[in-house]
Amino acid sequence: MLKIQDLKVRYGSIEAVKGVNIEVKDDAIVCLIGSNGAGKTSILKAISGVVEHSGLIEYNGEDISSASNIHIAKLGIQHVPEGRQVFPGLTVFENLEIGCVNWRGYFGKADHKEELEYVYSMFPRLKEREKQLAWSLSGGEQQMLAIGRALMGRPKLLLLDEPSMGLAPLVIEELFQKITEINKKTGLPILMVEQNARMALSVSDYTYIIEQGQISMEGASADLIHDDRVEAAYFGKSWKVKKEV
Amino acid sequence: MYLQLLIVGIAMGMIYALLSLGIVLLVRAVGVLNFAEGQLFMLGAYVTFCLTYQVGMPLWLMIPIAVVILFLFGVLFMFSIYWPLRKSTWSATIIISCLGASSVISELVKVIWGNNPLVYAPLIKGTVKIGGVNLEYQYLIIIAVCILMIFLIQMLFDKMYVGRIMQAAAQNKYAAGLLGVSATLTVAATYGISAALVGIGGWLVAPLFLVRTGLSDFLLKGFAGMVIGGYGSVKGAVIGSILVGIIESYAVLLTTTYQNAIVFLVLIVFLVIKPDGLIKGKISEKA
Repeated sequence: MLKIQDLKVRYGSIEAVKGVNIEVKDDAIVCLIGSNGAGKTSILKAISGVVEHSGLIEYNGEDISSASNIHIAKLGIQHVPEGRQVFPGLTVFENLEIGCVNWRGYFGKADHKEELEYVYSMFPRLKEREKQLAWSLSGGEQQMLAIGRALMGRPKLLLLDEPSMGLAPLVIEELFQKITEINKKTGLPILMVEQNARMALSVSDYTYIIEQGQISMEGASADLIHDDRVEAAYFGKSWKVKKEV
Repeated sequence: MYLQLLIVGIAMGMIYALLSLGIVLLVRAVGVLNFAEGQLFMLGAYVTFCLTYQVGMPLWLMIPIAVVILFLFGVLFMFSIYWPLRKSTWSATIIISCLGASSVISELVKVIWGNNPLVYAPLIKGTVKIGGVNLEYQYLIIIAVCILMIFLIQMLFDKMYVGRIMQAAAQNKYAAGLLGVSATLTVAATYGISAALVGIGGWLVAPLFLVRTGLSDFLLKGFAGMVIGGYGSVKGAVIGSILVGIIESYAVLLTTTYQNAIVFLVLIVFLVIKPDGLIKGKISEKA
């Protein structure tokens, strides 16, 4: 599906990503975890073509390393950016509709009923709030809207950047349930960046741990979750206490 | 007398509304105040004059061709004035390049059409009697055409898919880019629409104020209307501008020499007591 080889991202003199290899297989949820500034977001931005980078990015055998963000969106790679980034002055419905632009074109009249029904069935709350302006939604609802908007674009690969950011634990729980449900139902592969390592490991199939722009560890999530080093670095004491209880 | 002043005020207010709409569209799309908007307004008068008298086109053909020329000029303007500087870290850069562009356009117009004001005959000659006083037909034409233009802009941005895409790109360029919206296209289209919109305004006032480079001064009133209405709000820009037109028109009753002073006095009062303007713009909603 998606193969990344020796990806490097530079911002001026700072090298944010120092040559990583990542693979996303069909139907899988793959996670990138790591602390702030480790370069996770830069990797996603490189895939969707909004940041300059070197290295090879191969999507279904096609080299998209130097493709434009518009071409990449047309291929069905949908990127839900960090911090939700909905269109605040447009209604929920209008936000969702704009998600279709990659296959519908600017003057599109094509029917998007099917996509809309799917998104509303996934997130019934969005249907209730259909006519509300996006800025008036709660954080969790805005995240659902951002994901829903990406689903409108007939995604073949979903990139999620920190979906849990700034949300309450219960909301995070619900959101991750939805994310796994989307993956299970349609087999949509997901590449997710998360700081909430526990959550990320529990829903994903495969995980890369990024430290200072490099992959420090990788493996099946089910294995990593029991790894002592991961536990020490990412879960801290509170997690251990919880586990013992 | 009062009715006549009201009609003249609304007509001029509508013209200011076109100018402030042109500015607001760009403020929302790229976050830059376009100080050359007045020159684009003036250019509209010259382009329509040229097509009507020098090329000799009939009205029905002249209007669409003028709109296309002005639209393309707006796109050219965007690629030369805005695009090369868009990544500049100093926010005043583009404003300065707009100021520069305004002199270039003014001088270019003088080189092509000369220094003397040109006479543009009104669409319908003569006057109409309203409430006992005579009024040029042109004022009524201005009101009708401006309402149509504002309606069309409203339709484009609120009812059409492409307009909503442009709105989305204006509100969050990054997120729109990730969905596959080309920032180049939406920004270029916005500049084109803005130039065509104010250009039509220039055509409308030409029969009343002559075709001359001084027409660009109308921009100041457009700014005043935009600030009174609420910076960044489309509805506010229209309402504020019409208010400016009416105030300016009725100011005649007090003084003719200080008509402009009264308009800007009202602007200052508004800045002191209601700096957000009449209607809170979508830009402030974003915060």
